[in-house]
Amino acid sequence: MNYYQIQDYRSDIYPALVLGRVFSEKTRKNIRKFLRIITLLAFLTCIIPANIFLENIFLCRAIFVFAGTQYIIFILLEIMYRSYYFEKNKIDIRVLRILNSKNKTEDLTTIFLKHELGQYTLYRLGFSQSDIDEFIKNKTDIVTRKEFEIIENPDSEVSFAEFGFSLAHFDSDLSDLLRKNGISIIDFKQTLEWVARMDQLVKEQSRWWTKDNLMRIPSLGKNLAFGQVYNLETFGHIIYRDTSYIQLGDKWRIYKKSVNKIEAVLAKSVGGNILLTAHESYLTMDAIASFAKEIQQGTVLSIIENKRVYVLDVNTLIASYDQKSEFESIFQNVLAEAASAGNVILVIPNFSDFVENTRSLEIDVKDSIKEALNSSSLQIIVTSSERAFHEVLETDIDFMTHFEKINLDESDEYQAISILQHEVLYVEHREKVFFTYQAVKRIVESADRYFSDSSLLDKSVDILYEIVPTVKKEGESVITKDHVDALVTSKTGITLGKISQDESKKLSHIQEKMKEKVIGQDRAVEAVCDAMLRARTGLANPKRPLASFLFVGPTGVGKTETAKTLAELFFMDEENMLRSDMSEYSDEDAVNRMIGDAGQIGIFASKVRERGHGVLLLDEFEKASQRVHDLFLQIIDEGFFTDGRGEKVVMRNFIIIATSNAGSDFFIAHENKVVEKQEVIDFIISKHVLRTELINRFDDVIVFEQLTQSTLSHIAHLAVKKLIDRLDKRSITLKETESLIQYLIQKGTNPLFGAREINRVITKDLESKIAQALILGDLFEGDTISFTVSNNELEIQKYT
Amino acid sequence: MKFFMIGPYYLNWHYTQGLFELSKNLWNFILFEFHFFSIKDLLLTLLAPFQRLKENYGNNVIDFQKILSSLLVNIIMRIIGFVVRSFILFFGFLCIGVSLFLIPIIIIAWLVLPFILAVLLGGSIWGYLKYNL
Repeated sequence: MNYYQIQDYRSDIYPALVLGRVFSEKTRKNIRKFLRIITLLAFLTCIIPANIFLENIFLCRAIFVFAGTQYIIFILLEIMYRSYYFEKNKIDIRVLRILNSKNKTEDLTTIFLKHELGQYTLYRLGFSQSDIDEFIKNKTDIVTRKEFEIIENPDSEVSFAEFGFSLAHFDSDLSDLLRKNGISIIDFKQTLEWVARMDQLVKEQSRWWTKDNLMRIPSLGKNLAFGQVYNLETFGHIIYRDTSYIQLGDKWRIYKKSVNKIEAVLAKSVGGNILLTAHESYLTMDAIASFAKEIQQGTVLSIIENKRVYVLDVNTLIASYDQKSEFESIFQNVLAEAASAGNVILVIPNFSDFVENTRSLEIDVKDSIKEALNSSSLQIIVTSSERAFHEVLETDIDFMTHFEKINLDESDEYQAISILQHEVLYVEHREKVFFTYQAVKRIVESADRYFSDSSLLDKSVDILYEIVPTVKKEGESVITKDHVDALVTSKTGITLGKISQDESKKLSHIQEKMKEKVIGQDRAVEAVCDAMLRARTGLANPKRPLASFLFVGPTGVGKTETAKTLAELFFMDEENMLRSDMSEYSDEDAVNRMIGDAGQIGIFASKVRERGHGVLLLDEFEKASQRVHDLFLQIIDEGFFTDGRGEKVVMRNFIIIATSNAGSDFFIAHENKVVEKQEVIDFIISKHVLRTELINRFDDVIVFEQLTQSTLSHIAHLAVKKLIDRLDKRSITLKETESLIQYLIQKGTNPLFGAREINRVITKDLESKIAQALILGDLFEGDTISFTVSNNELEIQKYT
Repeated sequence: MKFFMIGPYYLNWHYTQGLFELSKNLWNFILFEFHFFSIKDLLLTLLAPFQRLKENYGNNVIDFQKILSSLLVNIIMRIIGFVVRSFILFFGFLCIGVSLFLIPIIIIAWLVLPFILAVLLGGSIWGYLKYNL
């Protein structure tokens, strides 16, 4: 659809457009305000008894009538305008308004950006008014009416978002501006949609006289028509006393979509029972509590507004009656009473558990409630986790016919953003802050990525509420992406967002720092650092772990040390390392022990969940069973796994390092030669140590080389230096000698175990000798010593 | 030029779409009153016991005293229920009656509103000129 075709639709709403052109929305608002004040002043002047303007009393009266009439006229004009505004039109009235606004320029983008909604869109994207003015002044690409066309959606209705989106398509200056500021075209479109939705919402809420808005006012005779439920008060409680309701707070709005679904089913005159499932069962109660909140506020459909929502205390009921007949009779009583009250919606939480638990009494509650399910005066909502639903309820087809199943799907990022945008409106209004689109988007992204304990929406809203006071404390009112990053960093210790000057220095020094700690593995360290820099600059895939490496090489050459150093440099703390000895997971049952099953919680799953982020070190990875390897295939690929209880455990904040010394034979065979990475990989594959697809999943395979003689002596030297430091604290001076270093290399290193033994030799031989000497009184504080070697035996030599 | 078009456009809207929307909204208001006073629910349960409190007549064994006392209680409950509901219904119908009476007046007022406004505007200017010049 091109510009002229759009303008053809102008005639439908022409009066509103003319009005908009002569007096813009803002002007009209100001005129009304002005007239209101004048009328009021004139009125007051007329009625003051001892009138100082007495001679001019007619002037006052004339002004009063004149201004008052004008005021009414402007109100009527506004009613007309709104009446056109809400009329269904193929072209969004806002698009026509922009295209027909008073403007001399040829350029449609300029017209768009001078219009209040266009400006507002750019504010939301983090631009200021001066940015916009400067952009308009400097732009060279002109989108004329002739060349303009709505893209992607040529025939159907044209919305505000599609219009703006098409503009960015034709205007290279605009798309450049967006790109340079890191705003994708999709981001731009979503912002346009957001702005349009908010505009619509504000206008709709002011129309109290529409049928929808009127019918949502609570009615007077509300409770007179219905009965009391004494039994239900004993074995249950009204939702307003349920913890889910009490703790709901402001979150009810985010369940709007689910609540609408619940409302739609309950509004049916026949049937209208709901089976509500969710990934985690507490979410179902949150949704029901949100529904109850809307009943309380009287914002539900009129057919539901008189309803009372009761929650059955299943456990009290089971605990009170352990005889089948007693239980049945009281349960039936509760149901009958609820039905006779006429306006009860009965919630049975965790219905699958209820079914399972009553089975021991040889009762099938599914049968017991069948009669109530058919009743037209009682509606029942049963809830269940998705998993329990599949196991317990789904197979009973006859039972299922009584219900409409509503699944509270985990919302995806797009939905979460749009729900959050709605919530932002209220937060902004209350707290007097302004969120940019990027901030909202980053909240959802971070919630998804860095927090794994709850549903995406829940986490996002938590961050949203938390960020407002944090930003306000800093005396700012515009909340940007950087604020979100700062909050997430302070909560997780993971550095995000723009790389600060300090940090960029740190990153550039990271290689040197690692090389200081990991001796003689320059190639390996460089490869790891490169991959980590990629992760830190945000080039890595956010749906995968931060990084994943396979470290291969002989024992004792620095693999673990590298992992520790990574934990220290990237997560601020060496303690942020989760270490798992994979040789413990070599049997067939290993996966169950790691991730748990129905009965028990998995060790690995709970550790990961508890930690949330860090370095995960999988020692001797090749020794784990095939199924464990498959599990990690998924983790590295998708960044999460599902534990034994069916809950998602996110691992996107971990650096996963699998180590293997499977290639040891290879390294021994190639002693003193430089080995190529591909050779090692080929060797590992040829020996069937690890499968090709698994090796390929890792971001990189890092080869740790055999330590050379000079590296070994460097390591020995460092170890001795540490000992010297320790002794120094006890005022004993140790002098390093070449023979000592040679001794350490000889005793503490070998081609199979690398340099791991050096520390052990220091403890076993050197420290114990010194301790002995101290006890025997051969050595005192303040002495200076060195070690000599004769016949392969160490001896302490004392300097006097 | 466009400025002078607003008047005719408005008048056109006022007597067509505007009038139609006004009538629709007035009708909505009547519906709202039915809803606000729960007219339908109260009429359907007019004779039901107050808060649906019911005394059982006992089962199997015929006990005249029990039956009579239960009957009495139930009748009283129904009477209380009836009185309370009638009270609200009375106000409901009263309001609806008043609204139905006002609707034609509002519509007539809408029809003559442009004239009244014109007269007021003209009158205020004329009045000012007359007394000041």
